[in-house]
Amino acid sequence: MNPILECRALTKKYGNTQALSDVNLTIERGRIIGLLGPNGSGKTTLIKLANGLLTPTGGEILIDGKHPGIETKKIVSYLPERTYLNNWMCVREVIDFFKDFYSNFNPEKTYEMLKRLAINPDDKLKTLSKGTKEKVQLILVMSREADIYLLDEPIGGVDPAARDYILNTIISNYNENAAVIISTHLIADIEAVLDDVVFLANGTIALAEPVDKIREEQGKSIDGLFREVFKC
Amino acid sequence: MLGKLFKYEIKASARIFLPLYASLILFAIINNIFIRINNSSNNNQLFMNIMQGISTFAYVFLIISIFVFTLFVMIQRFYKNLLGDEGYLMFTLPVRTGEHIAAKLLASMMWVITSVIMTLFSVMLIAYNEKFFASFQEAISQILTEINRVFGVNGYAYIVEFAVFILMVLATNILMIYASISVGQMISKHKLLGSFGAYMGFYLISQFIISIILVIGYSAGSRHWTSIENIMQNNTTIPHFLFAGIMLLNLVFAAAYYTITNLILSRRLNLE
Repeated sequence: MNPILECRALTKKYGNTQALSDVNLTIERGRIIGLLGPNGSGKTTLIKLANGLLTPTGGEILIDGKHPGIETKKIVSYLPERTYLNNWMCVREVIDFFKDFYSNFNPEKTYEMLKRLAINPDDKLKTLSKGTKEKVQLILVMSREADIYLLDEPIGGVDPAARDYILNTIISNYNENAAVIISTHLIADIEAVLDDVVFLANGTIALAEPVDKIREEQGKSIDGLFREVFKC
Repeated sequence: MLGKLFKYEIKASARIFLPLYASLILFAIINNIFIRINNSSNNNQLFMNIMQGISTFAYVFLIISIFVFTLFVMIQRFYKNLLGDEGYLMFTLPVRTGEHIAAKLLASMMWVITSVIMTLFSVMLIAYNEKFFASFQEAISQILTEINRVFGVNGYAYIVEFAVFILMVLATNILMIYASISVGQMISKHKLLGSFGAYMGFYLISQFIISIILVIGYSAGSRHWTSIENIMQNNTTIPHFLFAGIMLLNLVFAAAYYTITNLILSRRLNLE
């Protein structure tokens, strides 16, 4: 079986700015990976490349052995760091939209999670607060039975109580054939759920290791290690 | 997937157009009523004239808004839905970029055509009276007879060709707008200005190409033909060839704009 995500000498430049340079990375199925790094380290660029929203300047990125395209979009469930839902639909209509376009979308899961978070499916998105919209988005993304979940800052805008529920949702909603990549700088909050961490610094990989190994060898928490590696 | 995209495209724009069309029809009926009242009675002349003036103004204003909105929604749906934040969702759907463009193009064409039809229909509503259907039929048959007299059997072929031609010109112009917006979005800091600039650029280039072809065509043709009128009367197939030539040229432009848009959206997407 192909690794679910593979970067080979992946490079991305915006004009003269080097966002990613010569990144080599392999992500296996069944893991929850923290993609960590300070602002502007290339986390979002990497995730956008995996989604085909950007094209690499050099090297290649492969999802399940394929270049980003229609086939990979079917198996990638992506949560961008901004609100991508339109304002004029109600939550139920957005659910129908997802059902129409993604064959691996499971609406029952969505309704169940909406109920847990007390979000009314008949509310117009326009009337929802920013945090609630983010929750709806995450619920939609996690309701897909995808092979890889790419979550860009999934907990940035929601309150700590919802954060716990969301992280729980993430852990309980993926299967052993899927990988979850969570990009964030709120490390302490997600540390407990991670299997592996990837540290990005200035567009290169500073570290990519299992969490257990780091704790054993360095005797530090990921949060502690992060503060040390990226000390200003 | 194209069908689904088209469905959501219509759903997104219908909520703007349907109320506009409904109010257009409503004001056409109101105008019709005022015209009838003013024609049949002399009571309260000044008041009724003012009322009719207001409703006529509202009606004309609605027609203008419908066409402004048709253009505005065409641009806004493409820009906001594909190149704004919503683009993060649209471009991660398992759908080809070409299908996005096609769905938007078809929906825009549909609204332009519907807007024209609704406007014509509202004019007929205003003009409606007891003798309307009789005179309408008469006018249509007169037009057809006239076409038949001037062009013969070819007349009907011209009508079909002209309809196809109009649709092609419409599609080409919409694709030109899409291509301009796509070029504009590559200029991160001045997207709007970039789009306007691109539009001007495309316009000038297309005018330049058309002029060159016309000059070449004219100088090549003038050796053989004395005048257009002569051809029309003596050779009934040549006008069809000319038409076909113009359509082919249009098709080339449409294909070029489509390709530019598709390439940029697939390879040079620059979502904020």
